[in-house]
Amino acid sequence: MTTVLESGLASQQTHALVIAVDHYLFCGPERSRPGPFQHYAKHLTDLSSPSESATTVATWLCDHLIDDPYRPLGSLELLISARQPMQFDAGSGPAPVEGATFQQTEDAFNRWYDRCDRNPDNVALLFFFGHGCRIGQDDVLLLADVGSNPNAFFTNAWDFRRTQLAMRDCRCQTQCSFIDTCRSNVEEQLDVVPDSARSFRQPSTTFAPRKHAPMVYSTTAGADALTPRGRPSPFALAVLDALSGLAAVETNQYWEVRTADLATTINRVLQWNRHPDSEGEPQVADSGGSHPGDSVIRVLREAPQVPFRITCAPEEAIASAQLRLCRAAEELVRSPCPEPWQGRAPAGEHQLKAGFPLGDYHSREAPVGIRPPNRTYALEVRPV
Amino acid sequence: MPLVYVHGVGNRSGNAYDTWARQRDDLFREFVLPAMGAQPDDAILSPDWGSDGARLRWSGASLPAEQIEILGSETGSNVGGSTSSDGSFLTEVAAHEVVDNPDAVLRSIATRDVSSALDLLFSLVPSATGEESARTRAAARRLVGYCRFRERLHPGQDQVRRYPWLASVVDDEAFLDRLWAESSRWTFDHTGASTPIGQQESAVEVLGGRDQLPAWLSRARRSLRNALARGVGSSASAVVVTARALLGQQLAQLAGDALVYLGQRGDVGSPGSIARTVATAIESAHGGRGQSGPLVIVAHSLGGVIAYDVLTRFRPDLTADLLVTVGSQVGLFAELALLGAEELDPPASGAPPGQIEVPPNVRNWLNVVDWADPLAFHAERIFDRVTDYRYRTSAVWAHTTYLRQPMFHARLADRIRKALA
Repeated sequence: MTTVLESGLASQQTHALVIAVDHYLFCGPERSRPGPFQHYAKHLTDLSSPSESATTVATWLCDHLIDDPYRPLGSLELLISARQPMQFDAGSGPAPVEGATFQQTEDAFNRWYDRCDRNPDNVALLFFFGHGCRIGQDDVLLLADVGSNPNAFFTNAWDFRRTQLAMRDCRCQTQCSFIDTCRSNVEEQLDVVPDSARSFRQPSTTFAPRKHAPMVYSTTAGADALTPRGRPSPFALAVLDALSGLAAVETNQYWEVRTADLATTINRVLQWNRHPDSEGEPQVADSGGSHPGDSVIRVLREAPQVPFRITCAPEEAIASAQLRLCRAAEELVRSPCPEPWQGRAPAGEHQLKAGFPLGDYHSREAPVGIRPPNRTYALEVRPV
Repeated sequence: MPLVYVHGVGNRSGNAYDTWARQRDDLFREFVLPAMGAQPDDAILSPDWGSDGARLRWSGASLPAEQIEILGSETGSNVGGSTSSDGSFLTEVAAHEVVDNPDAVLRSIATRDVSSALDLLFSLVPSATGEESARTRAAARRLVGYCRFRERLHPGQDQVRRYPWLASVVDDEAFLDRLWAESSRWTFDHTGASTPIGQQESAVEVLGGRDQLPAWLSRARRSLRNALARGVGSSASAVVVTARALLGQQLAQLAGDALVYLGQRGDVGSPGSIARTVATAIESAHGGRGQSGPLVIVAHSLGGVIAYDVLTRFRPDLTADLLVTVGSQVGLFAELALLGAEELDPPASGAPPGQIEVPPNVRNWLNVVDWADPLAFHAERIFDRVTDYRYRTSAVWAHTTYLRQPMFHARLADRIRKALA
């Protein structure tokens, strides 16, 4: 069963659909079928990161949203196609997780859609991790049994754009999608015109108003998405960081995670988390031209913990600086060290104090505002 | 400025030529400049003498160009982002390759010579800039590194012995996939050695396929396929007519530019405009050679004749550490007594070759001759200090594309390294 959690019907809930494909039934060097798509299919080798990303996301959803006072988690549909059968414990013991074939994904999607549709104040969250591509201007997500028809390879692929258009007919006002796949154009890799992927629902021909519906892709159109083998993807972790509070803005005494700047924020988190020694061009998260609107996804009662990177100007002064970051009664301390000071502090106004036990620079302090999603600051100091 | 490149016949500045020149210079930087001890970002001086060359006043109305459309490459000129110059190049390939199966052209060439297939492929790669250009150059190093390793492992052997997997691939797509996969452990370093880079499982997964053949290589393969597919079923006579027309074009270009050059050659005190353009570039490079290492001149086709003429007749005060003539007619022009050696007698039977003395300001001279290139001529039998390097491409279409071919550059770099040692 793909419904690993269903908590009963409350008035306003979050409903999540999480899909991951590690194992492709008709792709890869051994399983691709002879035909015009074989060369393309054989390079779609099995993955190991998507299942890690999906279980990390599902675990986060259960840990952080089941008791969420704003929009508690009402249901979680989880589909993972992996080499071994998967189980997931949503709090009531391990339960088997179904694979993500087209039919199973369509069924889960329709259940999720119906739940989301019950209340306009619901929040819909959709996550996909696995192989993907673009056919023309359309993003296509490859499900576990893609390629079962060797002459119509994309029959069991998901036409994500058309499905998103159909989501306008869903009454749920806040719909967030997070898509972690490559978006390279498949036409460049084929000698035949690709067949069409399929949508789970068809958009109605009557007017349906736009929803607050950010779609956040892990990479830009035409580009590849990369992820470390056997670990959750950087994109998945950046999305969870954003939902945890790095996409939050302060309103009165609360912090609200809103749809408006979700893609921008996730991209900033992605770049922040990128290892400084990483080679190649950075992968850039993209909104895909979606309409994010500006509605609330979560409400946090406490200020989010925001990552910061503090150094001195001139840079060499950091090696002898005793640093303190103070806010009311809270204080973070860092002893002299030749590296920038990296850590997390509650969002808000802080006082940064630098002392120099060796007496090589004048002590200095300055106010520093630390706000989501991250903060870099260089404290100017003067040598003695 | 240690490297001067003198272009050949028929080159005229414009979008297609500029694109071609960028690819050529990328490969110079990747292979030849390191062999000279220069830095990859050192300047390459390319005097443009084409604007003073021959001009067909009626756009080639006298040339037998009508049949060129038989193989359809004019419409293929836009396939895969290739330039219009690629269109005529594809026509040339089509005219000289027997195309039974347009899906297996590269494979067919590879059974003769994998390097030629690789060079053909790169001749069709659209010009790239920035990060894409860096990736293209890295791919060239990878593929050259692998092919050079296999050649040295099985010297003188046939291609199937060198590349046992070749027997199991049936078409170009499979050939390229396999070549790309097999080459994954190799690169070609700046000392001219094939270097294994270790084989370990990548720590990264691509959410759209693992180690896919770069899209630009796939595009090049498809542009070749689409262009050649139109020629399948053409009669042998049609192919011959097309080949004749293309050779006629090349000869017309050579004759035109050569006649203009010789007609306006000038004399020592007053060189013609083409000679002046090339001399100025060599002089400029000559002025910078003290700081930047040796001065190497690479000259293609008629450019070789002009470079030789400039160094030996007009500016003997300029010294080239190495002159490389590629697919050039210097030997032919000398034998026709067009370069001022008419007083020399032909060698007596059994006498050692090398009758014309190469002046000392040309310290080394390497003449690259491809037997398949109808416009390439020997020099070793005419001049006393020149080495003919016999470069076998098995590819009649090579004349126009040597300088876009990574295997050619790698081999040229080897020779330059030895000549300057």
